[in-house]
Amino acid sequence: MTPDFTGTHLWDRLCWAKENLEPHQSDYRVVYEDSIDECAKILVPDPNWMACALQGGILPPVEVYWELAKDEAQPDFKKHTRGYLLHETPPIGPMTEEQAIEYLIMKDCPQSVWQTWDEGNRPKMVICKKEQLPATREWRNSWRISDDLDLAA
Amino acid sequence: MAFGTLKADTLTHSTAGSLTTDYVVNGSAKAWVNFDTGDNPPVADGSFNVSSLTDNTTEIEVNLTSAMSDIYYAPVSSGGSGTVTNPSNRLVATNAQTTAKVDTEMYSAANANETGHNHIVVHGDLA
Repeated sequence: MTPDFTGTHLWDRLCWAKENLEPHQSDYRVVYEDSIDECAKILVPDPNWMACALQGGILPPVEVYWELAKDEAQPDFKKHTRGYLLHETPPIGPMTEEQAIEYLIMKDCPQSVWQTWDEGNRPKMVICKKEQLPATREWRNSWRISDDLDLAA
Repeated sequence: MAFGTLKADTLTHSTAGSLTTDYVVNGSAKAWVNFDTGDNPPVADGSFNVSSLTDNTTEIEVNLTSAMSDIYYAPVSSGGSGTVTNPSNRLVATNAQTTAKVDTEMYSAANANETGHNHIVVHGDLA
């Protein structure tokens, strides 16, 4: 059972998780394109992070990361002054693996991708299983999301 | 906190002198990850304070869970070819891209992109 981590520094929570939780390697991968001039990027969840997400009571709400990203985007940003949001915002409860992937997209993918992933002529982002990726990296520099993707499926 | 807590400002050795715990807190690595760019895509084989890896072809981005306080932290890297007998001819460059993202790239002494074991350690101050 997760201890009551209210007000505990996030890094200390991760120390507890590292000592007490088994890593969980997800088969999910997130393929996204954030530039029309570049090939697709692949987001791979970290096994220790996924264990924290499934356990609950450790990670802060994803909105905390958005607030810090907003601060960092300011032209006069020098140093975080609201880091306490990571540590003092009550941690969220357990997530399913699918919910954890959605959280991770909103944390680690550019907002320009996930906020409008299905609004263009073709999808900018796809969640898939690792088996659905090309088997080798021989043509990695040309990987793109297929135009034939059936979004209704 | 529900587990044991030791509060001390100073550590004192019987003969070697004293050390304030600031040295321990500030000097500890804040994140680390080990991954192989030969994997498709690379996954974290061992890690701490990492939420995900982003495979950006030859560059791999390391996303942190607990962010650093500013972008002037110090990511440190090393690499090996992945063979047991010869780990040579692999270099890894890193760059602090944001307070929560480290960009990495492995290359050879001839400046050609290579694959192999990547070891990234992050030092600095947490947010």
